[in-house]
Amino acid sequence: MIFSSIFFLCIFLPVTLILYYIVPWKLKNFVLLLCSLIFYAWGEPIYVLLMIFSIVFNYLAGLQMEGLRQLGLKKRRKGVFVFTVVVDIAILCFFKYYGFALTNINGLLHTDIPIKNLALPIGISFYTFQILSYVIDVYWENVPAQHNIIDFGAYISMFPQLIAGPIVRYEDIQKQLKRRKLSLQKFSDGMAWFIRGLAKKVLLANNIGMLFDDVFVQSAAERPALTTILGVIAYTFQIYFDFSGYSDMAIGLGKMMGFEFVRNFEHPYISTSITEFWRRWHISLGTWFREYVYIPMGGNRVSIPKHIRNILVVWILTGFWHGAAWNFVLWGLYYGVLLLIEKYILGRILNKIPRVIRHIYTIILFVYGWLIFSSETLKDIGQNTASIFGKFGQGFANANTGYLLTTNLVLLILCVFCSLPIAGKLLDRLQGSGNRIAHVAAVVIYVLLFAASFAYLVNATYNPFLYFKF
Amino acid sequence: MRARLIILRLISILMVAALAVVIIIFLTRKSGSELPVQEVSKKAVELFENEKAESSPERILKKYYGLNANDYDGVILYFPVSNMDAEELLIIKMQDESQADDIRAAIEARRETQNTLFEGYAPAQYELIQSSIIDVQGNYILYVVHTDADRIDEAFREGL
Repeated sequence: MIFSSIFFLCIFLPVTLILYYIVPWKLKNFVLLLCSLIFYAWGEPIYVLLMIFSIVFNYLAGLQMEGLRQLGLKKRRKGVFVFTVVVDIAILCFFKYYGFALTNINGLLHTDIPIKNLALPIGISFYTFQILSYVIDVYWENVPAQHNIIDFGAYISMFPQLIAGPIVRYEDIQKQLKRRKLSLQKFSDGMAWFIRGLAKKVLLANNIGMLFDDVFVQSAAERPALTTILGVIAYTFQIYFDFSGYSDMAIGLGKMMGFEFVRNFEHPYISTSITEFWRRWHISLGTWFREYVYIPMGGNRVSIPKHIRNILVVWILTGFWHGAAWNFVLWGLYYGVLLLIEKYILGRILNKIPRVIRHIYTIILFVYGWLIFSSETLKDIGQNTASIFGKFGQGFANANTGYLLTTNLVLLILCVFCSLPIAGKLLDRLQGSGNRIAHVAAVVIYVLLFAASFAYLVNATYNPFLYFKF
Repeated sequence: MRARLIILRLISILMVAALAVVIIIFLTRKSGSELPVQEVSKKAVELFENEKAESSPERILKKYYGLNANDYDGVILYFPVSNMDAEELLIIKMQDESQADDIRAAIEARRETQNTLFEGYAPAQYELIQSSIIDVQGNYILYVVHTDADRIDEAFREGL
């Protein structure tokens, strides 16, 4: 089930919210767990069993680690921790990388091992990382083990952020699982977040995604340079509005149920360096890797060679987390290298050059990053790059480029505007001002955004979610 | 306390063992069918019975789906002769289950093209495409656009 579907908006969400609000506090997490499992089972009837396995298995691991700590059995406690982490990672790797691994083994060793067609359990990368945050934090004694399996299950399976994040660390939410505030103000804030996210996803991401499809339906050899650039720019906006829209909806749903999730995006496209870009893009994933991989490896408090190793390991893993394909590994490595270059070579120079130049520099680099990300194979990356540099003799632009540009110009301008902080700030100012007229205007805007998104969903057949496959 | 921890540990290990068994069974289980595509498709083709549909796998598979028939163990394809018809039947026996994703993507692209074509001026055909079925069963994949799509899919499964 996806948020931007008529069934979710008209039936699942209202029923869940009504149930959630009418039951007493003691039962709210139970309702949340139950509805979340139904939400997940809707699209993954078999894999919901895998999720229940993960909930029970990691719940028991937390209790064991706590018990062994009380008995002072450090070695056995470490054994439970390692066993649990290995099982969790093995499950993720099996379901996500099994086909990729066998395809590469068959290719390298010229073997013919049959490959089963295995569907990827939706959201497995997200919920496995949440589970690992719990197991590691309990082991590090940052948090006590959770004794209530309903609360723990609700944390792992919570439907607002279950299938595309943000990745909520257990440490950040453990208190809210016990006590959280429900209020009309919070509920209406949540609705505002949800509608903004829905509009980003349905009105912007889906429409600009069609431009990307129109461009990339042609082979690289047929495309002039500007057409390829236009396609990658379309993808740049599609992935941002798709993913940040989903995160906004998740944050909004969380608020409606009294939770406060961390922000996942802070207008990444206004960044003036790649370092800044990654402080603003998919913040919860960056935080996870920093806390559980980068810092335990020594972070930047080590020698330069070790720091370079740490950065590259984290970024190759980040790339690989996104998918079982070499383009994602290359994409991660690309950012690792760029971050190292900024840290050791460009850092000081960047601070001295005008802001506008730094901004252009960053845009070129992250747009090219999305070209790597969106290309399905390493060969495609090469061909798309060659197309940008006019290697196929198609020139800079043709009549089709002009057609695509003119028919999508308004949408592109709207995408630029909505990716800047000003769009959100204007709405916030209207909402937050004490002025009654301004407040009514904000409500009208939200109603219109919702109505437009809903009308679009009723008519449209094109409604993919890019981040579901991760 | 110690006894309780031992029990918890035991339960954890048994759970992992059970999961491992399920995965091993899945990996070693024979799915789909070793029967030739003509035999598997026999009942489904009988139900499809459309005189306006023509069978010509290689050329049309390439033209409409961008797929090469030689890449697979067998292909059955009935496609509409007239532009005003939408009924279509495709059954492919794959060489390897890993081919399923590419074939599914090609079918979805074909379905999207047909959707766009019929949307707005041929509501009956559009409805048929909307209720079309894509079914992957091990090394076999079926795509059917037909008023009796459900029954044809059932017959396909029985044929495996």
